[in-house]
Amino acid sequence: MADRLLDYSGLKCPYPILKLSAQYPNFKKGEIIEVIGDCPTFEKDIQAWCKRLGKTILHIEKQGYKITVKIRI
Amino acid sequence: MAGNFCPYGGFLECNNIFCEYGQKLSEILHHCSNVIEKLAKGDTSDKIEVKVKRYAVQRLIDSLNNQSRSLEELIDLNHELAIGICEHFDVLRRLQEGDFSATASEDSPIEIVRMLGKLINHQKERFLDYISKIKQQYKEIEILHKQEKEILSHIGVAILISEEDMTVEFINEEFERLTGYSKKEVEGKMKWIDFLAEEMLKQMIEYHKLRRIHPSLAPRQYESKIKHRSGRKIDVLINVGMIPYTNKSVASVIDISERKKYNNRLFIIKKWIP
Repeated sequence: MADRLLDYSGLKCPYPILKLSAQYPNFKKGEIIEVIGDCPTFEKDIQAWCKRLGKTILHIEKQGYKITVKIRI
Repeated sequence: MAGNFCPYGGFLECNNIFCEYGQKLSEILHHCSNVIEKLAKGDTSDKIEVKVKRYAVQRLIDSLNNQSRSLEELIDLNHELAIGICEHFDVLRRLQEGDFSATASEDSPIEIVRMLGKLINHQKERFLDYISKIKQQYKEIEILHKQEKEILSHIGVAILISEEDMTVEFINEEFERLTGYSKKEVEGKMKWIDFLAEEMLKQMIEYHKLRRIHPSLAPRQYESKIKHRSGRKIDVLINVGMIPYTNKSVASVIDISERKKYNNRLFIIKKWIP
């Protein structure tokens, strides 16, 4: 169960990660967030974001373009 | 034929002898339409690899592939820019929170992001230098403060330093000897008015207030009475001054009981001897 759910469906990349970054200061360390996006490059972007910021991807679920990613902050 | 109706205006398995394109061309056009639809969504993963003899169709395929590659480059650039900004934003946030282990990466393929990373790291170094200088100055001040207290501790006059709220911050050994109270009992715990004889309280508090409005409003030197721990009253000469840039005051207290006694005796003798 995630501590927060951020639904960025309908937004074109890179808006979802820009919005995620803007939200990031509100997150607590260790918190699990669930991010949803349906842009074709969403998965690639979220992986790059996690790698650069040293965050752990716990789970990725794909349903067509719709992707749900669980991240540990 | 009716079961194979083509939604794009033709027939998938067209056996019409009048149709000049036939089945293959129809499939290629379907493929092209799918690629265009995906490009519109920002998905550049599909490319059309087939080669056809018909020049107009081949031109369409080449244009689509070129458009797809250009769009892919633009998307990559856009994403690299966005990720770079996100990363630098995070570094700045961590620095603001006092986490100086945060370092911005300087290897982005986009020059402006790379320069921004360098700028952030450079600023961090400058800031760390500044902090280390402040720490050094703070240490020097601390040493000076200790030296000053050491000098005051061994001076032959009783010294007291008071905060604005009258709490005693410091007394020296001579003050301990004069009042019978130890540093431990006094510093940070007692107020200087605790040492005053009751009859002097009102006037001395007035001086304290006036001195903080302007130092010239209260006398620098005056006689007063303080109480020894035992309750014995001591006549003293007090010299008070403000410590610059603070609301603290420093007072030297000289025991003039003996002198007072002799003066009184002299006064009585003078009165009785014409």
